[in-house]
Amino acid sequence: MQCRKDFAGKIDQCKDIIKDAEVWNKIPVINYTPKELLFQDQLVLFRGMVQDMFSPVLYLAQYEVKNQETGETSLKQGNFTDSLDCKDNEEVILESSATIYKERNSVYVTTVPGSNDWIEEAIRKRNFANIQHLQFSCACKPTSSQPVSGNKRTLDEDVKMEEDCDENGPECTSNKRVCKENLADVKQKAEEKPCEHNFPMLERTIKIMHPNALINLYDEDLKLKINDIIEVAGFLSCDSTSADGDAEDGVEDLPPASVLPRINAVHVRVLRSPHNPADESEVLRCAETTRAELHSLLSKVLLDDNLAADYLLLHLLSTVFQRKDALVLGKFCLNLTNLPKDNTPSTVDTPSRQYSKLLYTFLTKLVPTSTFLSMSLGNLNTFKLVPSKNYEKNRLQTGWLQIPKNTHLVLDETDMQAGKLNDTGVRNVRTLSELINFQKVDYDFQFYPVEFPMDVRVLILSEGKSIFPSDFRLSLDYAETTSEYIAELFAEANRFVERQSSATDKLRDYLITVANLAYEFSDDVETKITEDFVKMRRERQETSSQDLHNLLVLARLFSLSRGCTTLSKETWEIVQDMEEQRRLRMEKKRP
Amino acid sequence: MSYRKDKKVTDYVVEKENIKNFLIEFYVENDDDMKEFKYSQQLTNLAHREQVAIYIEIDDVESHNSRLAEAIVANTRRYTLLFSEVIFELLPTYKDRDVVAKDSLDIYIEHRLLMEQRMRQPGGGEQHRTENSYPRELMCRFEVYFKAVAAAKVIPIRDVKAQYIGKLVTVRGVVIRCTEVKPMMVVATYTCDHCGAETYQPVNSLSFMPVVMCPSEDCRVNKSGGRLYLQSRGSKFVKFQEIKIQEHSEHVPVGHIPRSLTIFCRGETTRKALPGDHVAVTGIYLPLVRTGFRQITQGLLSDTYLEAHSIECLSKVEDDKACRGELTEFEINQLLSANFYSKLAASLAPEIYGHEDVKKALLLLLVGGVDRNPSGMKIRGNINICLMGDPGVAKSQLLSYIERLARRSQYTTGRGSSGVGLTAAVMKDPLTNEMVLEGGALVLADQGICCIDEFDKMADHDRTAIHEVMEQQTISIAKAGIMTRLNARVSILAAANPAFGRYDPNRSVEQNIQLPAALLSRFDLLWLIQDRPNRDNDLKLAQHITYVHKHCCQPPTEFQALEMSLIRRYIDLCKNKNPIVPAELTDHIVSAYVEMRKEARNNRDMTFTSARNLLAILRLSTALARLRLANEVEKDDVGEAMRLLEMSKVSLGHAEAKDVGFYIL
Repeated sequence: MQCRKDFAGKIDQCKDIIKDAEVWNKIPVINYTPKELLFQDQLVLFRGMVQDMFSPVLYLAQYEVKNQETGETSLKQGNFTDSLDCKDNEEVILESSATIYKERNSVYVTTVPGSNDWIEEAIRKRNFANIQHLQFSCACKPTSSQPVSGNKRTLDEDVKMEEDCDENGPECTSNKRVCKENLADVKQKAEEKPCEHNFPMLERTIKIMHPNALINLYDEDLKLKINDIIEVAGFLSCDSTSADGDAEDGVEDLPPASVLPRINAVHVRVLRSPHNPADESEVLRCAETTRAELHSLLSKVLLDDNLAADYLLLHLLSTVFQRKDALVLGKFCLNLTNLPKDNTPSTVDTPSRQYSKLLYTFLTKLVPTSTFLSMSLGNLNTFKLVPSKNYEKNRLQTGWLQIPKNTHLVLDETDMQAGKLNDTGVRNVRTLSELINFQKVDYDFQFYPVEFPMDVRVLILSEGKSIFPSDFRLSLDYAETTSEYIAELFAEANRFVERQSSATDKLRDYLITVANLAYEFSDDVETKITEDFVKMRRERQETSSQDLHNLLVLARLFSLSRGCTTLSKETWEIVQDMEEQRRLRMEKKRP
Repeated sequence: MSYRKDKKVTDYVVEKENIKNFLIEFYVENDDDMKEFKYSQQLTNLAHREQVAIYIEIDDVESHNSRLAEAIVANTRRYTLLFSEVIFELLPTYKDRDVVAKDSLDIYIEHRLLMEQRMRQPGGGEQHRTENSYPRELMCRFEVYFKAVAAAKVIPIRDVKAQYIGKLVTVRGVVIRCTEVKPMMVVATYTCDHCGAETYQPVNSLSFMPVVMCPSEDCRVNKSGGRLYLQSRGSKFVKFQEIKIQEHSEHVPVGHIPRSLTIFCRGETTRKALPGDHVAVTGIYLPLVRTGFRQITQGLLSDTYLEAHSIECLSKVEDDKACRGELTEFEINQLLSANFYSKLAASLAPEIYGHEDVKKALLLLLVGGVDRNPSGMKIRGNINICLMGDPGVAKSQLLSYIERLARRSQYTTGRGSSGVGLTAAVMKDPLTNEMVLEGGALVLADQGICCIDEFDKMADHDRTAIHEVMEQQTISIAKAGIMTRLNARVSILAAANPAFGRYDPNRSVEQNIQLPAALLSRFDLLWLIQDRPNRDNDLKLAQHITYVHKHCCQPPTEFQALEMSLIRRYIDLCKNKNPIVPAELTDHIVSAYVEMRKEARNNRDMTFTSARNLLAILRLSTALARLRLANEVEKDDVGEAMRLLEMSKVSLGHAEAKDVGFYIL
């Protein structure tokens, strides 16, 4: 079952065959498959995020072919392929009454932006087995379409080379991460690059062989949305002619099929998260212990600040669960202030010891997707945050804020200097504020903006109060430290995460599973909440309805974090206490 | 067309006869009970080259022969051809005088016809019809277009799918791209360099393969191998333009990219729209037929386009009008049920809890009063409202809700925009070095609503720019050699914080507000929203919020908020009305105003009761009458208007006494 021909005659059933998990996981993942191993009509898999959509194109779902010599006619199916199945001595009878036109949609998919190394590494490993198997069958079945030029050695070398790279281990990857501090430079390149690749975040493309793909969707009921993470299986189409044709399809300026593979999708899976957690019940069973472990880990990197660790833990779990007009429930934008300052200037050789970057690097090891935006004045004034439509090229040009659901967006404000914001800067600040407040981004379509709902966890790291709004602001409380101590602290935490891979996997599974649990609370808890609110209002006049919203969100996340799907009175008390502590700390800080 | 699936064979000869009958016999009776032969007249015009395009209205065909109309809509391209054939045959009979040639092609055709007649005559005997040698496309100088049924449904661009192929469809959208108008070859004319014979080649697609060898009798028999040369003067060209439209933002489903559609315009349908225009296009949805090599390799796929039959440019306002029709009787009745006024008001920003009066005022702002122009003096009908209040009482949410609800609106913050950004700016074009005028928020919101947040943070001299807008509804520019006055017929909805961050009950109103009286008096209504604890309200609020969190939806016991689009359409409907104030009410209003002045004089804590208040009452009451879809203002309207005015003053003056609960949920 490797190419379209294998399904000849039962093309309609192929979807059911492929859907099976056994088959599905054996399909080569094209993102990590070298070009030499690909051939026309091969069954392949692509993982990525829907970046752009094109206008639908008509295709002949069924057509009649007439043999000019014998005069025989036969019916052919036209789905999942780009070219007519028509031999030299045959011709298509378009006028036939059997002709059926149908529509197919095309979407442009990029490798999930901001997906972290551990996710990509897992896929690459899985794929390694798949393509080895492919290599083997290719050798013994030379008939299956064009044999590929690659031989076993090239593949091995290829993989080995990558393995070598990985052997550099933590240093190598963390280095790469920290390199982001030169974001301005990366950005420079990024500005040139997206025109070709339209890939929101660039630094990971080096390892990926096919970062983007054009997917043709045949299922008309499938309603894909922009920024959905999908896993799609289909037949590869690398016909050179079809690529030429695209130039006139309104899909202009797309790179040729050798660079941008075209896949005729048979089945599409929309993934809730790029990481597929293990058994849910197992995770829930030891939720308490996992939580405790995670909490101790977080409080360690937060310089033994237990309260901050509590908030950060809940922040990592937050997700928008209800949205109506201007009301968004479940968002949890955390602003951590009073970060330790880095006194030693970082040089090119030594990795940065800036606390914000170290913290981000640590978080990337736990969450599947994340993005780091350094909010220096220069960056704010130049970043292209909002995707915009380019009508010349008929493409949606991506921006930094085109990120999938539940991505962790870390805004580092410690780099900010005093200065002047220009036009772009003001707009960027407004966009980010809107994202934080309403969890939506207005993509720029020139003639009008189109609102795209987002679900992004925003973490703001700043020295004082941030210029951006936030739901929860907490000043970090710690004893005097030195930057050497902090660097050592993070090195240790990172080491722990990498060494204890099974424990780390548990943490990752926990974060994803718990965030998506259903949740409820009983009527008597409800009455208690309302009464408490009235009391709060009486005691402190400033208490607003927003505070109650925040409390309820906290209560929800706190319950979920312990694996409980119902709110208990104790949890409600704890949460109130947390907020009280936070408020006291903030008031103490404000002399 | 080949895609037709029905096996029933249509006899086109019969159809042609039907078409002929329709064209000749169809008439409408005009006002004088005279029969007016609509199409015969046009045919006469066509015959004399006084008219180029003939528009066949499907409505007319429908009334004449409904089966024919159906057939046309389902297979438009074929019927366009049939109509043009029939008209072509009919035209000579409508010609009653000689026609002066209009362009070179006319003369060319005339010459060829003459020459052929001369050449045929010596041969004698043989009856020869000219159409045989000249392709019909070359000879016919008219264009046939269909006009869709007036009641035809507009199909969203997203829903134009394979099932519509070959059919006449009407779509609406924004023009995003227009190509230049270029000549497109319809008939290529060649001459042979050996025998001099002319060859014609009709062109039906976007590209064609030129004929090289002369197919004439002479050359073929002698095998002289005459080469053909394209003759541009003898060929027929038609204007051709390709435009692209994109669906309106409200039709884009959440999380999707707006769809676009390519439209081919030929002849008279070109140059009808520019990028940015809102258009309604009627046309035939067709697949793009490829030729040659591409047909083989890409035969499976085809792009689609709409061949335009009519393009109508709708300005944004007219577009809204078109939407109004969509409000059904049922919906109106549903809306006009008891207490619809409070129901509508409560449907504004339903997530913001309580405070009906402010919402009522905002509803009136959306509807607006009636403009009056007695003897050149202009009295605005737009209502301006200023909301003041403690931080965190959802002023900004209210503003952004109104901004989203209004069809035309702009949102700015006082801090973020200078006076130039609000009014209009003179900019230098970097390419041409020309000075161009660019509208700021106020100009862009003409005929709409301009929401200004953080009004108090605005620099003073910027605020003065708004004075003119608020009363005269224009903006004057005298900058860089450009002197002009732009219309800015906007309602201003401003939000401001009290001067000391929070409303300080120990200080007077003026101290708390700190805005110049000249500006304040220009607001019809001023509202102070305060946030103070109150057991009942707090409890209700808490219950509401916990309910939302618990069940992920609004509590069912509360009334069902009306949908945004329904409110929007209803407001459009209201704006059509221009209610008047009946004579018998004027006395009532006058006396009420005198009473108000008297009270203000007696009251120590006077706010600004002036003639502007009287105008405000009139505006509010006309807006109320509009809301009822009435043509006359009633006493109750005036009463309600005065109540609102009173309430707004109460909120300012006696803020302590009155409980003004206002929360975000």
